[in-house]
Amino acid sequence: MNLDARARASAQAIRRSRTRLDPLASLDELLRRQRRRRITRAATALAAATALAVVAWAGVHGSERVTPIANPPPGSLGRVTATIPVGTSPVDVLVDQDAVWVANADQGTVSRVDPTTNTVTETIRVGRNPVRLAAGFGSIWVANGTGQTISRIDARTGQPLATIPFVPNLEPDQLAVGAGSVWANDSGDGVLVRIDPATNQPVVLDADWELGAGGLTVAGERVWLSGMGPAGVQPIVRVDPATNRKADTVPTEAEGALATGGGSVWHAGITTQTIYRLDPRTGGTLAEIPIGVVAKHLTAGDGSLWVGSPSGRVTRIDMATNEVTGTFQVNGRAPAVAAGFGSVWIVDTAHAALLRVQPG
Amino acid sequence: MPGTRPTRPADSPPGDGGSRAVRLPGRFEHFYLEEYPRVVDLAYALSGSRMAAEDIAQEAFLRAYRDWERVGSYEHQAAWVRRVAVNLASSGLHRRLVEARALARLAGGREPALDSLPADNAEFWRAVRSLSRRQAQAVALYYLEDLSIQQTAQVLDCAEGTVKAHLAKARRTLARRLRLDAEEAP
Repeated sequence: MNLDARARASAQAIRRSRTRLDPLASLDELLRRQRRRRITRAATALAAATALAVVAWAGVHGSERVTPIANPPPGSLGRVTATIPVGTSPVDVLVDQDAVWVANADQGTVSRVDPTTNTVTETIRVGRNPVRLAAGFGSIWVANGTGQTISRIDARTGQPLATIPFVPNLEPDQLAVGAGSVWANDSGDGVLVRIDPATNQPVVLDADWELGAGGLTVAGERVWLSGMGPAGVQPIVRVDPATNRKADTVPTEAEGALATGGGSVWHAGITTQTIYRLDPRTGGTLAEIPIGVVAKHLTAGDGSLWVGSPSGRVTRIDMATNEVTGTFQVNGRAPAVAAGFGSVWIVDTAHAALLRVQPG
Repeated sequence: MPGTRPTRPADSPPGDGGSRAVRLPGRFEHFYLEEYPRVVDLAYALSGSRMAAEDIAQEAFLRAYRDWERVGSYEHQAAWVRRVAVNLASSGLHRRLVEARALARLAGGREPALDSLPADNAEFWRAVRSLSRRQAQAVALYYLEDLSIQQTAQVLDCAEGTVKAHLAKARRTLARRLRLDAEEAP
């Protein structure tokens, strides 16, 4: 088949794909959007005035702490054995050898939780807006989004060790550890920074790719980046740590988060509501696992992949069978999840708490 | 050119929205219903997202609707709305906003109006999206919309020679990446 024939067949396939398109219903939706836009403009002005009043009131009366949820609805994943109050805006959780760590975005702090007592034993000030945690080289690494820095904390003592500048005007929101380095990027931009743990010196890689809003992981001696480009879903970019340059690309239908575990790379398809299991060497798809919800956070641990969704659902995928074996529901935003110490640790953003769940 | 409309007289009366509660500007509804499916196609090809395609097309028509006094008087309204759509589909920032809205709809259980493409065709459009922004837009307009070089230049607001150069380069790249014969030059 020549190019023209392939192109015309592919054009025909696009035209045939709109089996449920209803232009009349879409027109109604368009008019609703126009009305909403007018209302939003009016509401924005009102909200700004209200926010000013609330800030003034809080300044006088102090802030109220959100009450942790007492008894969250159980799911098939297991039962809650502890509800641990942390900062008012927990966004990420990490389990390392001795402790569980939680990033509190609004407070600019990281909570260290002792898994033997289920209490916060330390609250460590880091940079502004800590959003992502990673463990490696005896340290906890913290991506401070709007602070535009990476914090390094001693994992044993909890002492801050270094504050490493990120790229000016960019906000790190993803971290990965592997290939002898710490890797950070701003998922909105695609720039990749490599940090040498011996010197804490960052190096900005000369990125000849254009990716945003995707994932970052290290597997098979490659750094993997996924996301969207100007023209939509882009192939995964794999960077060779030996050269700091793009080694190759892997075609993909997905655009979301990446994680490594169980001898595989896991990739979240946002619009497809599917998790893709990839071969870490070739990038080939080993399995496609529909989960029925949009995936935002992926974490590998304890023989399972843990998926946090914007709807507040946590989904467990058994790496041995590629099957969904449990779900859990929280009320807040996409919950970050980690596994360790025989438990699953789930960030409950709506109730400013860390939930410890005993898998059933 | 598919969808090209004759010039609307500047003084034509607005509002022939039929039985709708909201009165639509003159001839907008007719224009929308005729062009909308093809603009969705274009957005699907260039964004690669079944969910985002409708959103992008709607946004393009919403902009036309809000400025219909002016856009409705253009000779090439269809080209105008396509230009907006291809730029939105290729905009990184807009893509992220659209994806956020798509996420919300998916979370609400709404099903995309478009089907997934067969693997062979999906691979072709993936290869198109890997081209430079202008090359991808030229390919989509030329093959999907079946536009002539002149019409494609009209949508992209550039010279015909530029479109020819984009298409020639795109065809070479696509042929190489898809291991196809590119003998038929446009």
